[in-house]
Amino acid sequence: MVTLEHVTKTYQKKNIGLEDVSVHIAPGEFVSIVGQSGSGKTTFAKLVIAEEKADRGKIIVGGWDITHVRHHAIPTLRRQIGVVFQDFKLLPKKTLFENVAFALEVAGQSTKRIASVVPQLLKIVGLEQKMDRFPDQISGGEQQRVVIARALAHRPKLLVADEPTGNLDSINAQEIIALLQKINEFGTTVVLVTHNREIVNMLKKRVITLDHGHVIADQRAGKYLL
Amino acid sequence: MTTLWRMIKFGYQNFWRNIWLSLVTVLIVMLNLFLMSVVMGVNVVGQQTLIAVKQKVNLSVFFLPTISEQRVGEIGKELALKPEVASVKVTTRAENLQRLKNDPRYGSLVKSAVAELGENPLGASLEIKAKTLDGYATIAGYLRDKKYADFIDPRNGIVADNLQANNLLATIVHRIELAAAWLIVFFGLIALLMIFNTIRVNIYTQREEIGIMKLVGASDAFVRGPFVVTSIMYGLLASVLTTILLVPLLTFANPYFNQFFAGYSVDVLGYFQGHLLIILGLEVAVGCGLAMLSSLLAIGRYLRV
Repeated sequence: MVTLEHVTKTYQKKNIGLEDVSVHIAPGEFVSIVGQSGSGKTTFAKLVIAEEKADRGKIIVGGWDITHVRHHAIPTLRRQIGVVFQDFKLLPKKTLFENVAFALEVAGQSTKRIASVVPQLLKIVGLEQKMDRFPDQISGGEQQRVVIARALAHRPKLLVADEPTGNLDSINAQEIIALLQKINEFGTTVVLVTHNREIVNMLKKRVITLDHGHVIADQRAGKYLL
Repeated sequence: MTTLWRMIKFGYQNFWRNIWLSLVTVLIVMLNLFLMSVVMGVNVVGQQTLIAVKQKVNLSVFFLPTISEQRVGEIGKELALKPEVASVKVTTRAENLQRLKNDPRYGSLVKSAVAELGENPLGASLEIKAKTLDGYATIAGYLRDKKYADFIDPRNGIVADNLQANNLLATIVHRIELAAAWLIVFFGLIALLMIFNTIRVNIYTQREEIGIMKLVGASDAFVRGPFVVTSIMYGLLASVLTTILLVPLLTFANPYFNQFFAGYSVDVLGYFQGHLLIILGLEVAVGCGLAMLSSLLAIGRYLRV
C-alpha cells in the first residue's frame, strides 16, 4: 500500500526530516510510526499525503508513484487517503453533518448521495444522534471521531492518523484507537503516527521507530522502544 | 454542474459571512463605477453637442441682386452634384429680405432702407451643407472659381456659419475624451485595488477552511472558484446599483441640462433611457470584469493551493 525507497527529505538549514528511509507497508496493515519530537514522524505522514515532496528517493502509494506527483493530481490522491490530525481541523461554523458532508461536497458528490452517506459515517463513529450539533458542543474525543468519519468519506484504502490522540485524555484516546482498529479490520490500511507509549504497547501491531530521520527499528508486533 | 453550483453557494456564503466588508467594497466599487459613468456621460454630452453643432454648420452663399433666382437655382443644382456636398437649399430674394426684417437686430434698419430704395437690395442665396467638415473648404474653393465668383457678392458673399465654433468645440471635446480615458483608468484602478484587498482579507479569514478543503481533496478550481464568485457578486451588485442610482440623478439634473443646451438637440435623460440596456450591460461588464481581474490577481498572489 505504501512504499518508500531511499527517501530523503531535508528542510532549510540542513534540518533533516528523513534520510535514506526505505519502508514497505502492505495493504490491510496497521502500522505505528513512533519516535521522539523531530524524529521525522510527521515528515513521513506529510510525504505520504503529498503535502511535502521528497528530495531523493521514490514514494509509491496504492501503486501510484507520487514522488513527482503533479500539482493538479494531488486532490485525486487525497481522495484516496483519509487523514486525521491532532488538532482536528473541523469547521466551527458547520454542524457535524456539514463537516463530514464538506469532504464529499468538495469532491462533487451529489446531494442525494451525501444525504445517505453522511449519517452512515457518523453512525460508524457513534455520533449519529449528534449530527446537528456544532464542534464546540461536543467533547474532544467526539471531535476526533467526526474527523475520522470525514476521513472515511471517500472510502479510502489508506488512513493516515498523525497524533490523533495528542489532544485527548486516556479514555478518549483508547476509544479513538479502538475505532481505528475497527476501521483496519474492515480492510483499510492504517498508518498511526504517535509518541504515545501506552497505545503502541497495547496495540501489539507493527511498529516502525524513527530517530533523527532514520529508521532504527521495524518490529512486526513491536513495542515502543525509545 | 453540482460543483459549479457549490462554488456559487460557497461564494455566496463568503459574501454574507463578511457582510460589512462586502458592503463597504460594493459601496466603493459603486462610487468608482458612478464616477466612471459621470466621466463617460460628460464624454457623451460632448459628442452630442458636437453632433448638434455640426448640424448647424453650413456655407451660406449670397449672390448679387442682379443674378436671377433661376441662375442661382442652376448653380445650386451644379453644386449638388459635387461629391463633398450633402445638400443645397435655395433661398429667394424675398425670403432673404423677410428673414432680415424678422431679425430684431436689423429689422427696422432694413425696412427703412427698402423704403428709401424702393426695391429689395438683396440677392438670392444658397445654403450648402457638406458631408464632412473638411468639405466646406473644398466647396468654398469651387465657389471662388471664375465660373461662379462673378455672380457672388464680393463683400460677404461666402459665409461659413458656426464653422469656427465647431472647430473649437471639436478640440475641446477631443481633450475631454483624452482626460476621460485617463480618469476611467484611474477610477477602474481604485475599484480593482479595493476588490483585490477584500479578496485578500477573505482569503486570510478563511485560511482554515481552505486548508481543510485541500486536505479532503478539493481541486484547485474548487478552492479558488468561490472567491471569484464573491468578487463577481461585488461587481454585479455595484454595477446594477450604480445604474439604478443614475435614474433619479439624471431625472433631477435633466432640466438643468436642457436649460444649458437650449437651442441644441442634446437630451441626456433621453439618451440614458434610450440606451439603458447598453449602459447597464456596460456597467455590468466593467464591474464584473474588474472584479474578476482583481480576484484572480489576489488569488494568484495570496491563495496557495
